Amino acid sequence: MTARAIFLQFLGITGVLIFAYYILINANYLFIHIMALLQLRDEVRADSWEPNYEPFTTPFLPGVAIVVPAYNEAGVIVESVQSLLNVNYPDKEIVVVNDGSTDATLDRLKTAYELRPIEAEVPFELECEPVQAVYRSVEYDDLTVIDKMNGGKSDALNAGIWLTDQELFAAIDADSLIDRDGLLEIVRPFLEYPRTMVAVGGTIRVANNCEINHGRITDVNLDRAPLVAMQAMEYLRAFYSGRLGLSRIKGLILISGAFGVFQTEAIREIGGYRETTITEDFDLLVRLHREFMQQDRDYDIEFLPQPVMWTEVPESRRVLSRQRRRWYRGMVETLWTNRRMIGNPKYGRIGVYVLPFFTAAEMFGPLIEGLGYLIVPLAMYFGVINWEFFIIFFIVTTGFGVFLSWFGVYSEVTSFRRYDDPKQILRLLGDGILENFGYRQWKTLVAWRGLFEYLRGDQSWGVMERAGFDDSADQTPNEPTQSAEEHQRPSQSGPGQNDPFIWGPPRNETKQFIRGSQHNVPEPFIWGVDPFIWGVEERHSGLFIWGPHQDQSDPSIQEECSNDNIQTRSGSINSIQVTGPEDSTGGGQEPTTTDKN
Amino acid sequence: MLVIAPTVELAFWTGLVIAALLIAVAVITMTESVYQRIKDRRRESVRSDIRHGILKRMSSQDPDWTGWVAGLSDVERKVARTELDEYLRNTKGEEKDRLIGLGEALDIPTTAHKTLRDGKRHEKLQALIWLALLEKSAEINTLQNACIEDNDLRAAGARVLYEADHPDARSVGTELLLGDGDLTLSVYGLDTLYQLYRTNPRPLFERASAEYSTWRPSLIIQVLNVLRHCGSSGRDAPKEWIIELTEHELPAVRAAAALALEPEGWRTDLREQVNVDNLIGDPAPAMREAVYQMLGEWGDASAHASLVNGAEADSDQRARVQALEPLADRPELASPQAINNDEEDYNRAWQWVQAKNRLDTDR
Repeated sequence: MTARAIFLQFLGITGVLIFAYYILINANYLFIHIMALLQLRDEVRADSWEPNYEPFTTPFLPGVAIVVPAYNEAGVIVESVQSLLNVNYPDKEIVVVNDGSTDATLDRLKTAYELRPIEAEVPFELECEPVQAVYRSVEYDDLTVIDKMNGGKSDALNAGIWLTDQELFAAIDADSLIDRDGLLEIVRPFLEYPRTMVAVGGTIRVANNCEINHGRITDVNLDRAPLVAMQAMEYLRAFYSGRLGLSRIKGLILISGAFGVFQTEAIREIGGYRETTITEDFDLLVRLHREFMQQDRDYDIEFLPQPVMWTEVPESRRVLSRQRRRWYRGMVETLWTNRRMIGNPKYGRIGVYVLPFFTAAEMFGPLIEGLGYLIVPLAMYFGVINWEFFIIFFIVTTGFGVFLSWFGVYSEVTSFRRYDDPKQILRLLGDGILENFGYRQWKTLVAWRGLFEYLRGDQSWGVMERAGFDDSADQTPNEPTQSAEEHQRPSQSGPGQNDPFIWGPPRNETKQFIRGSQHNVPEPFIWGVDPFIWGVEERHSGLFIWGPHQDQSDPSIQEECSNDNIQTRSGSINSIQVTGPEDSTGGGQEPTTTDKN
Repeated sequence: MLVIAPTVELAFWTGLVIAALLIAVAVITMTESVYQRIKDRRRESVRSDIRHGILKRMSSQDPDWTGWVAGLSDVERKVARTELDEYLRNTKGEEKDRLIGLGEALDIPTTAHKTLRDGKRHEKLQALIWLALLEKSAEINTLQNACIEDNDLRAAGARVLYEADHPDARSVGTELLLGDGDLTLSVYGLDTLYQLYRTNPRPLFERASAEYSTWRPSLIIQVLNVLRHCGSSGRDAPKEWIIELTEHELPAVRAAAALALEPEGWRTDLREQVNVDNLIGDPAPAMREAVYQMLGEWGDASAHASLVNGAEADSDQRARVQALEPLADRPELASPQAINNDEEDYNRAWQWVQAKNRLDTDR
């Protein structure tokens, strides 16, 4: 047999194996989606009646500590805390953990909330880097701030978990917005199963371009940028299909780091968040299953689709790639660490079904898909497969992928309808098709890159450049924010080195500035040179410009951009339009399991 | 050479099946979306008038709901129901009484009674909530038959009786809520049980005393929690079973029992029955913390002495802080100097409690 023949034989067999793999994986996805639909039907029915008791007078709601890790969040921290203080819940404690920020995060909190230090050393061991001080607010009984040395997001979460006395804690990102009644809804399972319920996850949705008023989402919009809209659809698919389906079969292995509530003691018992992992939320839940099953303990973990946390997703491919690579590396690392659970009947359905499926679909899926894009066309070129096979392959992968994505959109329409405009639904359906032509292939490349980074031992978090939330009611200027996404140890990449806030003087009679980074120019902008200043401008109108970072020190510009002069543009996330005083008209780990098809 | 060559027919049929699935999902999704949107718009277009109509009549001595409702279209009636639901949850007294008249004019109680007999689970729940909001009762037999499927239905059934002030609300309501002890209570059920016994918990003490041994641990914890918040039941209510439960095999049950004894500190005889030394020597820190909380509430000299003993002996620093917190303003009893304790951990716990106390006082 010649080398060519062996090669062709290899191509043919690999092509068939990849095809068989797709059939198997898609059949399992379909099963999970159907389970999700059944669960969603039950949840919608449960939501159709509202018990007539008063949550604020009933003495039975457990205390919840909302632990907010904050690293260089000066731009958003005061608003974020205010939004959390406004959350409807009778017995809550906001525990902000300032994780060695190098900016004014702590100072802003001190000023805004009249913080006073507890003038004594914390008397018990906190499983974290040294704590410098613990503050409590004079104004708000339920606000505590821990100031500690930098140790990363997991370390900061651990500080809050070990300090608080509350029975439950919620892990929440500083730059996310929780539904006003979100906590009231998410603690429900803890009351119904007080002995066994250890963790409950809520839904994450995309906040980009949504209208925000006093820390609340008041109008849900789909962002115009296709990259953001596709992520909105991914989140729908991941939460309304993946998480819900797995929850239905008691196989939930991931609760988003941005919105989960846990029994504090249970998490302390398993040692809290692991500081060496880069996807602490995934690691935590798999470890929870492992430890509790090893101890033969009776426990429950649940996902609820109704309580929602709104988060901002990346708007550039570069940042999204970095985020997804981190998720991929973290997933591989967690699966490798817990490899003895995979296929092990000792761990029940988690070991026998969920983890093997998760490994095959989420870890190997994108890698095999990437190979498929090379091998199948090659096999066709060499005549090993005919075009009919190619068509069938395309239909099964892409066609069925679209079908599963649309399942997620269908679930949205028939359940809680946060996207209530048919135009939005049409766009989501369109994105379900579009993502198969370019975006999906790009994600396989990202996964391969993530795998190489993992094999190379890369543990960095990378930088998540987020614009933060403009609140049209508060009229507060946004400042650069490093979200929890980039919340990292300084040794991994220097704190505060990224996401410079650059802005420029007025031009064309409209004074404007845009938050962001020079490395993260939003889609409609290009780099350019202005007679006065270099920066970027909008491709067509030329209205927006950015200036170099150092110009922020110019007092005249600072004055122009003072709070009084700023109006947000429909509360959108990405930009703030600055009008002159005379003119006030100016305008963890998420989508996995069913992340791909 | 291996050549993989499925037939054109196979490709065609595969394509057809997937295309049919896609078209079906897309059509159903878009149709549903458009339909819901149209419904939303219709309702929103009349909401303001309906709201205005209700508010205007709410302040009138003779609202004439029947006449007003007779002139409403189907959409307007639906909106009136959603508005009524919201207002009933947020009003009391005379205003609520008038709104109940609107519920009757909308024929809600009649529909709810019918649904209770032959509706599906979620429809029954909606019906029960309506009856509870409108303070209308239902026949005991109907409730007993309709509300046994799960703990939500049981809670809603009991709530109907409570809200309607039915003479058998306690006995039948408790039967529905606790059943044969193999259930746990929903949040709604917990609150309903609490409302039923808030002013006089003694019957619940008696029932629990007789039946707790047949209950699931989760239910025992929930009932203990309800009793704790109901407050003291007087001298004669049976409490021995709670003292027994402080030695239960599950720490969560032991802790719940200790907390249920919190309001009984005024009873010297009961305090004497509790072996506090044993309790503060419990192996579970969560239980010891509950005991310290109980002793803090009792607040007598003996309780204070036990707290100091516990704080000195406890190996868990968090529990030690819990023991010292009720003594924060009693340095003469618990400061390291007062008890000649120079242990570093004790001192740190004391300093922490003091600093927190100073801050709370400043506030």
